[in-house]
Amino acid sequence: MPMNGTNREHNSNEDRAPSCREEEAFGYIRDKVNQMLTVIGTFPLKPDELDDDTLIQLDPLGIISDTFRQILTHLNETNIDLEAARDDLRAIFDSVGEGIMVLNTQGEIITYNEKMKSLFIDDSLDAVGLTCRDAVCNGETSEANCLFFQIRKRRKSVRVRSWHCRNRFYEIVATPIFSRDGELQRIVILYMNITNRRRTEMALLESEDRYRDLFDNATDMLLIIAPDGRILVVNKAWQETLGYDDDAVAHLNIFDILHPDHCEACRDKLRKILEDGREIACQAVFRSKAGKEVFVEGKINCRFVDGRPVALRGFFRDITEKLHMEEEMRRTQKLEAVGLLAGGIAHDFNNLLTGIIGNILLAKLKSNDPEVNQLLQNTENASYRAQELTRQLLTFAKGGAPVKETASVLGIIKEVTAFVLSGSKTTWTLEAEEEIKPVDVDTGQFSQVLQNLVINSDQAMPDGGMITVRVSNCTLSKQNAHPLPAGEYVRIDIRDQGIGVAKEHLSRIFDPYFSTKKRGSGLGLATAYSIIRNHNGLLTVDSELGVGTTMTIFLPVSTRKIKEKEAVSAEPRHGMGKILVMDDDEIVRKVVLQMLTHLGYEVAEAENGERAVEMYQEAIAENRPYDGVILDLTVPGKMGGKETIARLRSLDPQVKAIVSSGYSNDPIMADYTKYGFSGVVPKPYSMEKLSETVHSLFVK
Amino acid sequence: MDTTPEANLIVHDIRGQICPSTLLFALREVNREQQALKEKGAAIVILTDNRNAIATIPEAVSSMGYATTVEKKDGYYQIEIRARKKRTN
Repeated sequence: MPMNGTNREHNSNEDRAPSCREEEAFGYIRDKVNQMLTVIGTFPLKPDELDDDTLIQLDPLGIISDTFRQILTHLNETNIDLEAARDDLRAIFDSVGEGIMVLNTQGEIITYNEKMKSLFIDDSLDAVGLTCRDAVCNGETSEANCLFFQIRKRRKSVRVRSWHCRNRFYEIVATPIFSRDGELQRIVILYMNITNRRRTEMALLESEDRYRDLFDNATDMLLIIAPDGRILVVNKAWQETLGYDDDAVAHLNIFDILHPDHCEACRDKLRKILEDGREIACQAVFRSKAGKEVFVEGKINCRFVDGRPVALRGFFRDITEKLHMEEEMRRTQKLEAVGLLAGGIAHDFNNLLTGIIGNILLAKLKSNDPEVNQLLQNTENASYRAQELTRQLLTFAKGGAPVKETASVLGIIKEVTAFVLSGSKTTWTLEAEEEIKPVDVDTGQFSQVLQNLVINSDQAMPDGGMITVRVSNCTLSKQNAHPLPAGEYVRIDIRDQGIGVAKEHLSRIFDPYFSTKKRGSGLGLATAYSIIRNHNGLLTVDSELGVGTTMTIFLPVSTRKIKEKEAVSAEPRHGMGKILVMDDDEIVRKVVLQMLTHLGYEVAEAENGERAVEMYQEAIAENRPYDGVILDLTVPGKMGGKETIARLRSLDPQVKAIVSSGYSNDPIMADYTKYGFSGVVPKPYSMEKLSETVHSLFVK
Repeated sequence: MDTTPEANLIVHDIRGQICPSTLLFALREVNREQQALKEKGAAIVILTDNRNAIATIPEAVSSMGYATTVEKKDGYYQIEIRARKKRTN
């Protein structure tokens, strides 16, 4: 749009020489226009841009005045907008669910929101102007931990993950606000109340801790397996039983630890659980890291998430020990049955032998033919061997309470060792540097122990060698290395130069059925151990592979002296007196009757306890009492020796009775005085033993 | 003055003219078309070859509540002036 031309020409034509006053007026207008343009924020007018005529025509004051009106309107509107925006901000500020406050650089509160108030500031208090230290933390926070100080120092946002104040936990973010020239002006601090989250976290931790504790300290073996068989988690019992550490477990699959024989069955079972989700009970064999077989039984079930199997849980119990014990119990029961049978056979057999031996003895007495006598002697010897066999059978099967007598071990050692090693390449020597004290032993059982030990030593040296038997007296103090009470003992060391026993086998060497020999029954050392324990002694072993083994026996020294076996080997002792023999076996009764009659006694017989008591009573009534009675311990269906002696003692407290039995392992035989007997004669009888016992007890 | 109705643009081409003051001219037009600008969403487009104008016009109309866009064309400048959008209350 043109703003020059006609008007300017007209003005110049009308008044070519403007008065001074006009000039002043134009100058004034031009000044004011420039002044106002500067206020608007722009440049002043250039004279060549706008001549005086155009200035008047354009009406710049009018334009600027209109412009100012618009500027004012705009400012008013802006103010209204700002107020609205401030209200909005305040509403937002107050509705935020976290506490916010704004500090100046002195740490004084400029503003804070409603949440901040509800968290920290008393209702009645206006905290504006207070320091945050006074209004919020009450000085509980040290300067080093104070966010205000930190942010002044670091000049950037600071976050504290967990801050505890007034029984609550907060996460805090402090943000600095800088002026345009980079000066710190404000600090905005946001307080997020995380108390519930923290408490939930702590409750979770506690819960996790509780379950972890239960899991780890469960005595059963627990594990979690991935559906593909990878082992995910195991508990301590599992690790301890199978010997895998954490690192090893991390690379294990369930099939790595399963015995190969069980893998296929286990695979099928796992497939089935993953399909139908049903818990199954199972037995399996795991293999420990060291290769040991561990028998387990337990259950497996499956964890499903959204209908998909995510893990298998296994709960197992190590039943290896239990299985061994069951096996042991089965064997023991079997052994007991064998023992019972053997006991019965031995009893009958001993009765038969009593008849045989007794009759041989009687026949020997009546025969004067040396050849016949020799034959009878041979038969008698054979019968004694048969007797020995029944005794061994009993001891082997049942152990048996020892029937002890006071004796020196040296004689037995010499006899047994020489017998066992006759015909062997092994030689032996007996060392005893002092007079060996007597012990109370069941010679039969003790012989068996020695026999077992010497046979073992001999077998340990297939190419021959030397067995050294060393016997000594020793005194054990209270703090001795063995499970033995303090006291005096006879110590017997049987040392060989054999192959020795491996260290890992030493602890099990006395276990029943444990044997390192191909054909060993595993009963020899177990029986030996048990016999020595029954003698209140101890059997120990020490061995080194390739060097040899030493078996050591401790037996308590006897308080008694060894009985002189004066007449046993001599002629049977004759005597006089009235003797009542009670035995259910007629053969036994007859032979005893004949033997005693031969020895000069007057003998009456009874077939059971009832009859014996009757006869004893009658004899007292007739004033012809018996000098002694011999009572069989076991009478089927009728009163046996134990009850009979009790009845007889009530009739006659001075009654002298000898107990006799084919059950030489019966505890009454070992401890006869306790039951009221004065003596004991095991069946079968030898004339010497019978005559000696009867003479010493019954003859006045 | 050229008005293109479809874009509601009021165009003033003052190139080459010896315009005594591009700024005063622009301010006069803005005052004059105040209603169209603020109520009808119109825009004033000024085409000028006065380089000073691209600083003075935007600065002055900004205080009045207008927004400007300046585009450099071939040998001239195009300054578009529109009312700023208001806050919705």
